[in-house]
Amino acid sequence: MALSLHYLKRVLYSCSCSQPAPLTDLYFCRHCKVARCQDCVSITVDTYFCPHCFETVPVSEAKNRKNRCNHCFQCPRCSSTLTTRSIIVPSEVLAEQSPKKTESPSSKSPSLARSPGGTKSYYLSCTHCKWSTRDVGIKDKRSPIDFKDPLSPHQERVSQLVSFYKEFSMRDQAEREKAKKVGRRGRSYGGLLDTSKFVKGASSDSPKQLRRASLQGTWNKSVVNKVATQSTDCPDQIPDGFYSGEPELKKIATLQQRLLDPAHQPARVEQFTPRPLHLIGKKLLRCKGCDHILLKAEINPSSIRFKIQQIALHTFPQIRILKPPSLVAGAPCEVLLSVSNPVNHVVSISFQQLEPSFTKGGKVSLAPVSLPKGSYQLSPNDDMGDLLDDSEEELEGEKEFIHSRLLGKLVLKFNVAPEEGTTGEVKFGFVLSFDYKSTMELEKQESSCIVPAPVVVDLGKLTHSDD
Amino acid sequence: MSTRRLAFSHHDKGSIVIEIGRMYTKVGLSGEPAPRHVIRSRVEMKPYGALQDVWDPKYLHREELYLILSRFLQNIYLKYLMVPSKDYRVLVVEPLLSPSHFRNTLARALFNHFSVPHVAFMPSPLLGTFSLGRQTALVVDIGWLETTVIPLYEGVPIMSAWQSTSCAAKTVHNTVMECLIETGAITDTHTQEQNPAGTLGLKELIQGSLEDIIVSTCAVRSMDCDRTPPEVSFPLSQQYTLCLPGPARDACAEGLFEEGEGDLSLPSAVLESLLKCPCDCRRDLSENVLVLGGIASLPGLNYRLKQELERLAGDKNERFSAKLGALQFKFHQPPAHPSTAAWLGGSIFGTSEVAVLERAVSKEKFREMNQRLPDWTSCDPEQHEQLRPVPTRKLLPAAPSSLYKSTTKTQSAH
Ligand SMILES: [Zn+2]
Ligand SMILES: [Zn+2]
Ligand SMILES: [Zn+2]
Ligand SMILES: [Zn+2]
Repeated sequence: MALSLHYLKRVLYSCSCSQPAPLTDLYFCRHCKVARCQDCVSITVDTYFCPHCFETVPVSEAKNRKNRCNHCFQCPRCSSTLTTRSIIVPSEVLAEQSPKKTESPSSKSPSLARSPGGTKSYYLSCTHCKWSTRDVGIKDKRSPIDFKDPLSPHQERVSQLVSFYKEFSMRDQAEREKAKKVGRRGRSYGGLLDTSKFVKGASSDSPKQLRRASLQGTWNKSVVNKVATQSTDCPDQIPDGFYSGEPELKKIATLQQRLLDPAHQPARVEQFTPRPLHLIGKKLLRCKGCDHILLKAEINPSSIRFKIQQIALHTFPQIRILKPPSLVAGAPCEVLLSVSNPVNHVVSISFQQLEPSFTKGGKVSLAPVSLPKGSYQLSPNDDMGDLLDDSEEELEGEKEFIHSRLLGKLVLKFNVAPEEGTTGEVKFGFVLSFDYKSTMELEKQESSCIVPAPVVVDLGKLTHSDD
Repeated sequence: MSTRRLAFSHHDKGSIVIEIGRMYTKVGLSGEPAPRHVIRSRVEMKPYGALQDVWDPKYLHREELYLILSRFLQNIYLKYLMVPSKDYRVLVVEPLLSPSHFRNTLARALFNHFSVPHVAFMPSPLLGTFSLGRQTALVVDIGWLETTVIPLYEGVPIMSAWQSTSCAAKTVHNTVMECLIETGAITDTHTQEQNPAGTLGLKELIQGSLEDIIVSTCAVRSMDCDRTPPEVSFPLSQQYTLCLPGPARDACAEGLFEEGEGDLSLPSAVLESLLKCPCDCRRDLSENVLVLGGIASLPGLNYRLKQELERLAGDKNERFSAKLGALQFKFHQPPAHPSTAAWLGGSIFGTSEVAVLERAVSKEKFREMNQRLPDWTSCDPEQHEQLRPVPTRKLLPAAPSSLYKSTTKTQSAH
């Protein structure tokens, strides 16, 4: 398998959008009957789930939680998943003044001490880097769900600004509607949201006119002033400690740690808080041509199986280079390619030269090749096949191009003549046409169609005859 | 879309707000105080698996960019935002001057590959002011390769006063790197052997950690400071430790305040911009400076910039003192990390459906326009080069040249 993986990049199929891709990266739409690569399918998130606790989260719920899990947390220091630890705090111990095992501040809290049999409380810790919520003085919680993502320090101010601008734009709009009714030309967006002025350049306005136009008549200036930030005459200076002692780097957060929490961007380790774990999604792929589903995973998060899986690997005959040929410039070389049948019925294939236009756009130059003539039939790729019938003679194919025939597989001879002066990899191409029998329609009637698949094979560098 | 339909609108889902920076990309949903994710602006390209920089100059003007951006956005939609792309309009936060091929290709990917209904492009300085709840500000947007200074007066960018300089985040990186190569030393903790930081192989090691070194150990010296910070041992890997000399730690931003060859320093760019503004705007602008970009989070940067501005503006030997000498400089602190302030502005702006749609291009319109964004969304740097030499005739804010051109055209037609 490892070997074939290596070769997969050497054989690139052309997608219907004419982008080359290894067969493993292509999908096949049974309705459009063409190959689709990841750039010509639309991908959406189908189901949301937590990668740690595997809880499936409904779409609306995921949106409310900002795509984060309620129960699982990420270490703010090393990004691995935190473990929930619980301790039982016996009430008698709490009643005494200094318990031995529970130094955390919360254990002294009277609310915990009140319960008779002892209380379970939780903290989070990292098995990887040993960080714990107790390190930063976060009190132990009665339930692991109580570790909430703290609000941004600017939340209130931002909400204020949002509602201010929202209200403003609504007033402005209402005013314009009114102006329209009266028949006057509605003055566009007063000032604050008037980005159209950016375009118009407000060419003849002096600053005073600008001021008038933008604010008066739309909104009272005092309202605007109330919401505006005041500038400071004295910006922050370097903190005192900077010159007095060597900074403790262990206490300063790295850039990566800061960016893990964009709302707080903690500068120091004391500011770390556990990060709710980000959900991941199972993808749903649709064909861009007809919107049919190409790939849909099973909903169960722990399952890796698919409900619908229309990948090209299940439909397209797969081409592999049998062994790297020896290539000499100017001389025809025999190249052996194996073509394997992915389905359990007979598939006919034939080869055609690529149209010259195929290479015109790209910078790939292809070596001339003589292709196996006529059409060939691939035996079914079926474990039972060889036991049931031995009908090899019935299968079509020109003997002179066939190197060998195996179960569900055919090895064919191609003749490639690398041109003199080829410096890079020797590549050649062809169109592989195969008859595709739709399995959906199979029950009703035998309907098949020919699907052409342009293929480019990379044979590697020239072998130097001098060596 | 008619305003009438919008007036009785459905429950609005909001916008996806995305800022694709040279180094980091910020993505999230409108109305939220911070982006959901800040990720590197690069993507794994199958079938070869190599990490590809989204802004790689090699592909910036080529067709391959479409594929790179499509894959990059795919990752954002499926892995990070996890929302159906066709349900949300997109607000792109972009630099004031964004290469037109990049924005066109981005629009093409969003419309064609992801079926996004509406896309709006908005310049980051303008959006930055939304995070302040005010419309007048002198915005200094420190990018990776370029810093842009643009005054916004009552919501209108005064394009004729636009300035740019190559004193930017990369300058800071280069300054620290040079300083380290000259004076830094690396200790091999296994052998206790010490090597100069410029040694081959070790240099690359520093380069990889440079961002972290700056973020965790550096600050911007004030003009009147006569102290030297202590040196720091910075672990580069299990094996190597970098000895970071004290002077390198607070000199990191010096490059921003030095006039380069044919290039303005950061404070000169700010003052030049003010000079080009109408004189009765200047006070309002200088007292409302907003510095954007990740570098703005360096401790002491705004303080130093203020000092430099006041010194330069008051210096009788410099060209600014006559007109700007009396100005005071005041700075804003947006309710966000400085690196996400422009994004936050987009997040606030993006909640207003009417406002975004007024600026946006629809999928259908884009198709009608032959897969090119209409002129009015663009602020092409090349066009601006043409605009630059035009003398500031009046005190008026000039329109982007695309418009300027079209108006002259219509005039001649009449
Ligand atoms: Zn394709
Ligand atoms: Zn979970
Ligand atoms: Zn950890
Ligand atoms: Zn289809």
